[in-house]
Parts: sequence; structure tokens; C-alpha cells
Amino acid sequence: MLCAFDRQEQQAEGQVVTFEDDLPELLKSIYPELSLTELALLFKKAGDLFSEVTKTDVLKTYGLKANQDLNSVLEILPRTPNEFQDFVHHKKLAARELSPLRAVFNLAEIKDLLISIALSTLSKSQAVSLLEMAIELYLVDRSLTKLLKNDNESSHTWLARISALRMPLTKKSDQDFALKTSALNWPSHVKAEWIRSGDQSGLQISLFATSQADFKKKLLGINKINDELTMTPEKLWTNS
Amino acid sequence: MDQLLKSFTKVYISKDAVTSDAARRFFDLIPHEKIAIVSERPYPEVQGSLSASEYDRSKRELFLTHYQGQFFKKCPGFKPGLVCCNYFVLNLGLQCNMNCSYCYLQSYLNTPVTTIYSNINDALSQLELIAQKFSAESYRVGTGETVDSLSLDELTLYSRHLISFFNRYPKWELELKTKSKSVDQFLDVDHVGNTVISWSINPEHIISREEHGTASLSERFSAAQKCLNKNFKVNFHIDPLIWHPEWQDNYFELVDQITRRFSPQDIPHISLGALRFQPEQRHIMRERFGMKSYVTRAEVHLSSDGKLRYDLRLRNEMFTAIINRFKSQNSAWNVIMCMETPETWLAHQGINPRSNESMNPLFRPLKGEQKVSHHTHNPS
Repeated sequence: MLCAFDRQEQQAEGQVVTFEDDLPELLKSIYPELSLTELALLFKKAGDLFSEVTKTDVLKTYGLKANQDLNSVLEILPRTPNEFQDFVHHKKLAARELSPLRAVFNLAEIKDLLISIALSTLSKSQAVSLLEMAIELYLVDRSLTKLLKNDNESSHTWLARISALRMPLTKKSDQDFALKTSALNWPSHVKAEWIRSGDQSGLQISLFATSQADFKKKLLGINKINDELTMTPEKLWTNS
Repeated sequence: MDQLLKSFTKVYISKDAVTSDAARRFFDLIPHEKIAIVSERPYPEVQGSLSASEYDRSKRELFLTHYQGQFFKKCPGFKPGLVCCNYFVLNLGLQCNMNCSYCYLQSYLNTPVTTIYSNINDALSQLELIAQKFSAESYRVGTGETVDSLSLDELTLYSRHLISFFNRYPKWELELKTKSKSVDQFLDVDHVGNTVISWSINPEHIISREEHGTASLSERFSAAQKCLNKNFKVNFHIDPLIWHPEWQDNYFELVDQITRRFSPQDIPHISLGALRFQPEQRHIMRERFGMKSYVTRAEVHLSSDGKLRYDLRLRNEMFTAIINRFKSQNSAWNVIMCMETPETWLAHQGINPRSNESMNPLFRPLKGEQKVSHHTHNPS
């Protein structure tokens, strides 16, 4: 009855039945769930059937609040590559996660980027993060040269590379502290890492002890490092 | 004034505000073809957060209306996770006619037009109820939370009402916070020394890149000097500190400009705050200002209070450098941090301001806080 989701215009045309009065309920009963991609395609292919009020009601039926930002995303999505539309559908992305697309003037320019993200092995949150960082970097100089995934690069290496490009100061600082951390003479079976937690970064230590004596030995080893850092804090605690 | 009037393409006056003093002044000053009398808020269909284009439009259209809610509330810094001075805010409108890239109103406002409340007398009546009850206390009241205190003041002249009102409560302090140069309209008002005019300032390099439509640094300094000449108190907020490659040179130059023109006696407090914003705000900033802005390009991370901030070490480095620069010129400069997390205070000063005696006048808990909260917050 409603067949707008296969993205083939010729099949969708003429096959849509109008139930203007209770269209939102009818849609919901046929399709209890519709992804953002599906809604976007529905509005694009059967747009004439929906007054602004009906459109708002349809969105409300699916738990979405109509506003300019959502409308903008729904208008943008059908213009993205099919691979990306499928990705948004399968990963159930929300409109806010696609907000970076609203800042792109010419979507065609980032087509390859969107396809690479869609085909990557990243988790949903990683892919959303990469999408935002890569679009921000693209907006700086409108070039994708350094942003596309290299052939010999894993998805996770790609994400790390883009992250380093977007946050160069943070990356360098964290790397410097990580190097200083690893240069200290930690006891065996004591794992010392420099980690980032939001707007702070710091030392995290975990240790494995088999007995009271072993525990004491490791603490003494850690204390020895503490003594060393008290005398020369620049060995770890300052980023100079 | 001409520039201010030209910045608005349309002015709406609600029927319930038509007879107000502000409306009379609007009719006198604004070309009548720009004015429309309306029975409801323009763009009633716009609900919730604004898109970038709706937000841009909201800066160009002005709405004068009668406000029926509570004008008073506590400073947003007064909540768990933040260290802030005790402070009340008196909201006399919504939205600002200037256009700073980092402005928090972008994630806060849901009104599609710049709004000015016409019933200043009701605001003062609400203030009076509390002032009479706590006239012996030293409360501080600011008007610059959801509007710039002075950028529209040439139109409304509300500063004159407020300064006169505070003359009756000399222990209370009024803070008018601005990035404008608009002070001439109240300089002749008699006052008892409890009005502080505060300027948010930044190096000229940042003003020209990020604080669009605001007064230049030298214009702000000149306006501050005019206020000092009339014995008004003046404070500077160097806020937000914005990292950029030449940040140290530019902020040192700003400190030097302050210390050359003013003395620690002229400016009793200088506060510092680093860039921060709600995570969702980054989207509208990106759309409105692109990625050439230092703010949209900033390397910010989620902080314990849910806002995006620079790395804690970087913030401390910036605070330390600027405070040291002030102190190297004169140890009497009193520089404090505002809107910062306890971690920053502890890392920088080794103290929590709430436990520091010298900070007590600014940070002590409010007496009768519960009562005040009860009476000043709309139960709905």
C-alpha cells in the first residue's frame, strides 16, 4: 500500500493511497517503526500527500518533534549516497547525530567520505564521532585529501588519524604524557597508563598482587617512583 | 543609536505593552513603517529550540511585550559542579542584538524574536518585596543573563530606573554587564555608589573575530572611564578566554592595556572564565559561524558539569599566566575565576573559594536562601 522505501521512483509513483484524515495512525499501524531514512524518503517521494500539519503529526507519531532542524535533516538525507542512507537506517541514527550535515553546502563534495563511513567497521558512536570531526575538518579548507580512509588503513586507525587531525594539541599533549609515563621504572605487574577522561587527563595505575608481601613490594616500587617525581616532577606532571 | 535602530528590520509591540513608557519611546524613535501592533508573540508556530536561520532572524526583529512571570532568579553558576559567586539575575528581556560566536543564548533561547519586557515597574515591585525583607543583606543583582544590560538601554532607558531603585537599598549592589559602549544615557543619574558597570572584555583580536557587533576594546575602556569619572564602580570580566596560537601575547597585551589605563582601586575585581558551552550548542555555532572561528575549532572536552571546556591543564595554564601578569605589575590586582569547576580552583589556588575568608563576601552562602528561593521562583 505504501511503497516508498525501496528508493525506486518509478515503483513508488502512483501506488500510494491517500488517507489524509488518519494517515499518521494508518502509517503507524502498517509500519510500527520507521527510521529517519524511511521517513525522509517517504516525505520526498510522497511529499504531495502531506500537508505541513500532517507531516508534523506523522513525525509526532514516530516520536519526533517537527522543527526546522529536523526538516533540514529529512531534506538532506535523500541526497546522500544510498550506502549512507542504509547506514542511517540500520544504525538507527537520530537527527541530532546527523547535525553536522546541515553545515555542508555541497553534499556531493563529501560523497566519498559518507560512503567510507557507511562501509566502515566502526560502532555507531565511533562513526557518528568520525562524521562530525571529518565534516568539521572538511569545512576548514573544503578539501577531503587528508580525510578519506586510506586503502591500507583499518577503520579504527582511520578514526584515530581523524581524531588527531581534529584535536592536534590534545593528541600531542596526551602522547607526551603517555611517553613520560612509560619511561618511568614501574614494578612488574603494575600497569601504568596516561588516560584521558573528558577535560582531564591523568595517571591510572592497576596492579596484580599474589600475596601481602607481593602487594607491599609493588607499593614500595610505586612509592619509589613517587619519591622520584617529588624530586623531579617534570618527569611526569608537567607538559613542558 | 542610529546603528542600533537600523539593526532591527521589524519591531512588534504587543497590545498589552502599547501604553508603556518603553512603547512611547519606541514610537518616538523608530520609523512607524517598521512597527506592528500585535496581539500575540510573532511566529507562534516556532516552538522549542531555534534553527540557525530562525536564530539569525531573532536578532533582527524586536518584540516589546508585557511579562507576567517572575523576573528574578539565581545565577546559573549556582549549582552543583560549579563554583560561582552568590548572585541574583533580573531578566528584563531575551536575546541580544550583538552576535558573539560563543554566546550561550544559542543553546538556551527558544523565542523567535528579541524580546524586551515593557513592565519594568512590575520587575521593580518584585525586587522591592525581596529588598524590603533582606535590606540589611549585601545581595548582588545583575541584569545581563539573557540580554546585554546596556546594548538596548538607549532605547529603553531601564538603567535609569534600576539605578534610582537601588539608591533605596545601599547594601544591595546592581551589576549592569555589557559589551557595548552605551553609558551616556544614565551618567547623570544620582547614585549611592552601589551600581557596578561590568564589561566583558577580550583582546581586540578576539573581539574582531568572535564578538560581532560589539564595541571595540578601546570603546569599552572609554565607556568604563566615563563611568569611573561619575563614581560608578567598574569591573572587568575577561571571559571567555579563547585559546588561539597567539593567546599569550594577546592576553598579556590586554592585561597591559588594563594596567596602563586603570588602577586596582579603579577596578576592584577582575574575573576570568574560560570558554565553555553546552554540547548541543556546537551544531548551531558551526552552522552560523563556520569553522574559521576559534570557538567552533576549539579542542573542547566534556567537563564534570556537562559543558564542553578546554583541557583542564590548558585552562590552568591560561589562568596562571594571566593572573601572574597582573600580579607582576601590581600585587593589588584582585583577579578571580568565575564559572569554573572546583578542580580548577584547587589546581590553581589550592583552595575552594567557599572556604576562603577573603572570598567570603563574594561566595558566602546566602542567608534566608530557602525563603528567597521560595518567593522568587515561579512554582510552575
